Amino acid sequence: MNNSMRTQTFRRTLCLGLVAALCAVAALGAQGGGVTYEQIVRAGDDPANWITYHGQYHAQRHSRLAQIDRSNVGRLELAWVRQLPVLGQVQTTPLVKDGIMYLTTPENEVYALDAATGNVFWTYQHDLSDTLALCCSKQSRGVGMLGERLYLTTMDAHLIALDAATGTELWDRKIADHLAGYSMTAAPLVVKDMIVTGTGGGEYGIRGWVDAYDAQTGERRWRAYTIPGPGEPGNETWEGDSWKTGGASTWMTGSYDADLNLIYWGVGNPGPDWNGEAREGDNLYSDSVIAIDADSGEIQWHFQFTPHDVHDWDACQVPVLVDMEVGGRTQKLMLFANRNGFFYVLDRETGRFVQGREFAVQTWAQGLDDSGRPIRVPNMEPTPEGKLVFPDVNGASNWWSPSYSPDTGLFYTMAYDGSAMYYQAESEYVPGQLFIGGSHTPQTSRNDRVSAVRAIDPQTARVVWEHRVQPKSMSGVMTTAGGLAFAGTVTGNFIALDAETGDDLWHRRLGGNVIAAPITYQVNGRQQVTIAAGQAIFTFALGD
Amino acid sequence: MRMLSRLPALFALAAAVLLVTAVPAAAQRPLASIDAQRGVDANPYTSDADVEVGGELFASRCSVCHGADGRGDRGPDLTREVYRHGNSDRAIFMNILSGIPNTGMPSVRLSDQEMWQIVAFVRSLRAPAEMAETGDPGAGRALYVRHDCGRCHFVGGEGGRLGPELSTIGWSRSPVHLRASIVDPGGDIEEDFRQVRVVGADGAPTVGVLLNEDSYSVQLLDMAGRLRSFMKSDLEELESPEVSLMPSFAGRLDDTELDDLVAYLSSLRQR
Repeated sequence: MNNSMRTQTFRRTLCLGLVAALCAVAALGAQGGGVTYEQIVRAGDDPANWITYHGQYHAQRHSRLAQIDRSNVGRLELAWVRQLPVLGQVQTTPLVKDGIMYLTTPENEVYALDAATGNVFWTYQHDLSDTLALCCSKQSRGVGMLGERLYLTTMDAHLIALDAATGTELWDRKIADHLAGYSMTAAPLVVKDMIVTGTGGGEYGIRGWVDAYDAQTGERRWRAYTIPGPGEPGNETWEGDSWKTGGASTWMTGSYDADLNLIYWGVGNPGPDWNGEAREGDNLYSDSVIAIDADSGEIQWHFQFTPHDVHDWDACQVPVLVDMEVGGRTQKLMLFANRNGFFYVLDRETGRFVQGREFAVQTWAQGLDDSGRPIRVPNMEPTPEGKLVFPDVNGASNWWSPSYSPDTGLFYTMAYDGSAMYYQAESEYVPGQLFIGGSHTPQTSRNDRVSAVRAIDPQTARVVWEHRVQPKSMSGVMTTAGGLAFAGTVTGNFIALDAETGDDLWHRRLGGNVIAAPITYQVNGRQQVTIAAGQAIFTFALGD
Repeated sequence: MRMLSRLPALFALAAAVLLVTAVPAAAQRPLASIDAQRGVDANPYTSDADVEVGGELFASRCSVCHGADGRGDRGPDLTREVYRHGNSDRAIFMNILSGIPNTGMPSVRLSDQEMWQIVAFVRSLRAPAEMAETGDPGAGRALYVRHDCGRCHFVGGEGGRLGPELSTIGWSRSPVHLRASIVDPGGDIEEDFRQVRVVGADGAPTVGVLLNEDSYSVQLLDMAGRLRSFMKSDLEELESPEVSLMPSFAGRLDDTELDDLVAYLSSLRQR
């Protein structure tokens, strides 16, 4: 073959290659086409993708994928790592659709990665305000996806739509005043043709809400205030004008029942956090879960876990929806491991309390009455000198996603036994300033603290087993049809447990805090498991 | 001498828990202060009423370390004219807001107004002269050598590793706290100087200072000053008794000697 022939052959090969590549891109587009609402409703039928924050609307964070199972999880190996050049702790839950992974960083950046290699397709960075009213640190926990668009909420209270193929900003709506304390760190929830989001700011005297926005235009469809206004039922549970600055933020992603057309959202603490003297009453709907009609935005029912909270035990945990046979008939239930130390089973059609029991050490309540209301131990309120109470302010649980496995019938949550000294102080509302009325100091010594994955039987509300982790964990849990429960620890261990027994089957040291929840999906026929740790994204798959 | 200066770890843990806690939460530095982000330098809250409110806040939040009168305990004496980490209003404000790395000073989460009121109170504490030390630092240094304190403690580039470094202990601990630490070392053991004892499959025990522990392994500094790591699966026993590795000097030093040793330690302010 002479040089000319070689060149011709090369050109022909190149042309054929280009055509093949174009066909592949076209096929990808046809196959992909973004995400439809119907696909999210049926997300459980398509475990190759992870297209909404909790995996599915019912927030069970359970996958039907079973390529990785109890027998082979010991062969799980690192597939790739993506380092993210940020300072903060990455807490994102990525989405994966047709081999593309979308995730956020603590600087309100969005990354699109090749889920097979971790290589970057594009990045987007929001022009974040220099002045932020955040209680804690910068954070962003994920995006929502509908059609070929991604939706990002920001710490300066913007809602932004991006083109999923390029990261191009399509629109940017300022939806609240961040200088007055409103901030957004959660992944939004896509419902029908709407983007549903809550807000942070429970330490800044905001008045919380859950909002729905038109996914196409960004116009607001409805707002459900989490503190009733004058004349509305529940406003009488706030003393005087305290409802105006009562907090009740909504900073974690809720769940949704498409059949009942109800959106479920956890509501944060009343403010000021540790001084309840100026807000006598139950302070509805703080520390509650609320059920919102998806079309009208009207609150259909509420259940308050901690009336008149004075310990910052907000109910921004994830409401997990299960259908389960209780008393001889299948009931639509909600499982809720609350920051206050109690596990609750609720009827999600009506909000009726079914049963509840403590799942972690707590010293503030003698138990729950027949309606689920706590029977309080007297004199456990914060004082100027300090009052020692279990759980600590971090809570028996927190925003860390729990999981429910329909295979085992068990609910899995990261639980923490520890106490704090709670202090009360005066607090005057100043817009944009912390409005907390005291403070706290964790107390329990290293030898006394217990952090564990706890498996709870929803039929009895009792802990079936626990797997203790040293020194602590603040990770979410994910279960799979492979009989596994994945979780992580603050020391950077990523672990796989036997979902039936809690036995430790596999772990890897990732060298950075795991303060995030795992996901699993399939790329090129291979099941992968992805977790954020420190400032990086780690992905595992079975070795050969 | 009791474990002197590992409160930083305890407070770092407290701060970390605090930060990963209440609301849209996570680790790192708090962003709670609008005044800090806008670079406000001068205290806007300096009235008598502000000082009074600041005093109440100080009593509940700060006195546990700095003493009810601000003269210090496990935390430094705030009646001094010069602070090691800055004397301006803004420096004090930022130290309250963010804490001070590698010291026991945690980040304190309060509103800007409350933090400024504490600054106003702290300013009102400053006395024209420091409380006189009653001991003789030179005699104290001799006692330090005679009792072989340097076997475990590090001063000026020399000494052991099992106890806290004392090179700048005069800045960070009050005489009252130093004295208490010498006579009752077990009274306040700090997190990072907790004792650990492990026994391997061969039955041989190893004792040291617990440095780190996760579900699968434990890391420690053994009594010979060596860094050691053990897999828990290889251990027969693992315990962390809540007693200090340091012996008590109660009854071994008389009052004059104690004053001298405290005076020496209080004089240690520079590496």
